[in-house]
Amino acid sequence: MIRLVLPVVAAAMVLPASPALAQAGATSSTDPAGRLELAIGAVWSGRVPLGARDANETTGSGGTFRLFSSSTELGSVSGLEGHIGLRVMSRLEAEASGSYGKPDMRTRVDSDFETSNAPLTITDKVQQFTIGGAALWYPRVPRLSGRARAFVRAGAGYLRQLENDGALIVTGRTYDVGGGLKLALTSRQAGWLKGIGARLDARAIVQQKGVIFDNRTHVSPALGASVYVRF
Amino acid sequence: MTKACATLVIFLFAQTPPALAYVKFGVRIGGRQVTLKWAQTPVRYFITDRSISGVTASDLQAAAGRAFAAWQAVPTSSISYQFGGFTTARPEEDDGLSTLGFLDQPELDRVLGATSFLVDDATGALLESDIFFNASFAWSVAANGEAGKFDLESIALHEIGHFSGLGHSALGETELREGGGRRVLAAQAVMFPIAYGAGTTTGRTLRADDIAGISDLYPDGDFTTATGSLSGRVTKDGQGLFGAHIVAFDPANGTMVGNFALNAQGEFSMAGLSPGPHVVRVEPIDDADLDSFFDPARTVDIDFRVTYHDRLVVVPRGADSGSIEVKVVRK
Amino acid sequence: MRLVFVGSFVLALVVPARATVLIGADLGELARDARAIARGRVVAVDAQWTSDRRTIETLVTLEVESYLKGALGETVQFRVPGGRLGRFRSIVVGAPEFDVDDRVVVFLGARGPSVPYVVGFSQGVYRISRSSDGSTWLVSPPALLAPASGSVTIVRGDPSRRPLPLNEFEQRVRALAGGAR
Repeated sequence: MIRLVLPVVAAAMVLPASPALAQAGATSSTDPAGRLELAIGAVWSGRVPLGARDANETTGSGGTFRLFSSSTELGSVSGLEGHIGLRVMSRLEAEASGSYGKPDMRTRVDSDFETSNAPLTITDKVQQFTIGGAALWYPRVPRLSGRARAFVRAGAGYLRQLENDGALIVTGRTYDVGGGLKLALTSRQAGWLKGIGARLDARAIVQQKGVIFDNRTHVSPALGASVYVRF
Repeated sequence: MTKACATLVIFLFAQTPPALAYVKFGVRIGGRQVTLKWAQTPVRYFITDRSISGVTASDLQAAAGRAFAAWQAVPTSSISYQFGGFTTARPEEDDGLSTLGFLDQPELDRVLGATSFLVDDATGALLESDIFFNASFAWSVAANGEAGKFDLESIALHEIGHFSGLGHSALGETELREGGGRRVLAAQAVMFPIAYGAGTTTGRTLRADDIAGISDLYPDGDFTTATGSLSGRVTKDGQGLFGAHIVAFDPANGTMVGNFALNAQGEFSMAGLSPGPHVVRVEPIDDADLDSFFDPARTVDIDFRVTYHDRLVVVPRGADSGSIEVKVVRK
Repeated sequence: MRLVFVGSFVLALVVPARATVLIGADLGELARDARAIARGRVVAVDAQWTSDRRTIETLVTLEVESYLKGALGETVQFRVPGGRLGRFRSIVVGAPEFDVDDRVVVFLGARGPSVPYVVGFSQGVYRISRSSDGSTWLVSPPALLAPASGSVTIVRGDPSRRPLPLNEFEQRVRALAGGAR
């Protein structure tokens, strides 16, 4: 899927160099026309370490004897992401977001006391959905061109993960902070379609619970690329 | 007795996947399969009014009481016990009383204790269960154990597992020592058949495997809804493999629950597992006296290597994982 | 169907009641402690009340093919706890069980004039069966042999641990029993 979305976004980033595609009447104002923005694109999330545990037995003195060790992670994954943004102030936007991905859960088994068949890595697929809300703030960045707007973002979300095709459903929370760039390809004041553009995001995502084994928070990077339309 | 052994066979079944954690005792009554368990609780037990060197009957009653309490405290199990008083009856007597006590059994030179059952051969009803502790050994009831003496509470905890209907677990490792002897290196189940050495009290704590087993026999509370099961079959060269030991390891909390492939199709099932992904590991029981686990009439295949299932198996909450197949290869 | 509720399972797999808590023994210890070690075929299994009529026990009669240690006659009787008598079945978990025509090597102990017993409960019984191709007799379980020095952790799945051919098993037992004298 990301193979489909990324070329579109990449093309969108290049297109502003072509003046023919810039409509007459386009504005260079940093406040884009329209209040509502819809975006869809691809998102890549980095791996999330879930935890390491040994398969321990108890010795007569109360110590541990390791039969084998294990460490588990949620692999990096590419997925779909969508945003619906609503401008609430000149430089502030409220945004609802959702994403879908299907990462591998991978457990590496190592140091088996009884077999050389380990180390080995065994996996399961996890379907992962998030929905959430965020605030986007557009700071003044003097050196950016009139078509580009930088933003910072802070959000929180609900995480729903389905293991083994829904045999087990777990939920959790996500928090993210990051920023990005929006590049207007077309923009106009008239008509219902106010503009089209591309958006790049970089975020740090904090995940709690869900498939995570412990009660700690786990941070992973995420990158997004999408196209948007404004109304 | 000619046919007694033949009737104490491992139950064969087909079609419906079984659910069990751990190993449960059973007898064949006529053509019926009967799991050996108490029909009514609390189970009333008596203590033989006999003291041995360093341990009075009251000490035994206190140690056994703590062990009974540990099993009874499992929140997902309904089993309960009640002390009926001291008695002059001995634990080996088939008298209808479930009795715990010391016996002089010098010929049982490697048996610390054992549990027996009296079963109505017509109905399969469990009439009584006795536990004897071998007075030929030195015993301790000290809080922290005593060097050179076996911890009575630990052994009682194991035997009460049998008393309640549980078989042996293979979750343990042993070593052979110069000059003779086999010693437990480590175990992760009270129901491992070989005792820790003298002087330790480590065996006083129930483990996940024990808890899954007793809860599967006497389910209570949210056991069936809060935990799940994992089932499948072990095959070698395309054929079911009898007697393989399967361990489900939860990488989230480090717990292990074990069971065996208990029919010719190599089928197994483990209940009482925490929901979530599990690592499934299969190993041969090639280090044990097999009679301690299986019916001697069955041929246990031990000619295969330790093998992991090639996928994580997700155990759902209140449901079964769906059957998996673990393929093992010859040594 | 995947989502079969656990509690809906009707049939369960169970094993015969055989369990106790043991002190582990290796083959050398068993050979040393046994008064006699006999290979033979079980010809009778008879349950009876003990002399005080309080407990059921079983007398096993073995037609001896060969003694690996000691000698107790062409047929030997030994007792194991438990048995089936009338309406009652007494099961002593951990006690070895026998059926007519079983071929076994048993490590027998005896104290005074009493009927012999099996050393180490089920640890003192080795069963003889045909190999899968029928070419040889094998002894199960695989023998546990103490190391010459130090300690050796038992590793499950060790390719070297297999049921021994009967003649090899007997050679080892004879050597261990001889060395113990």
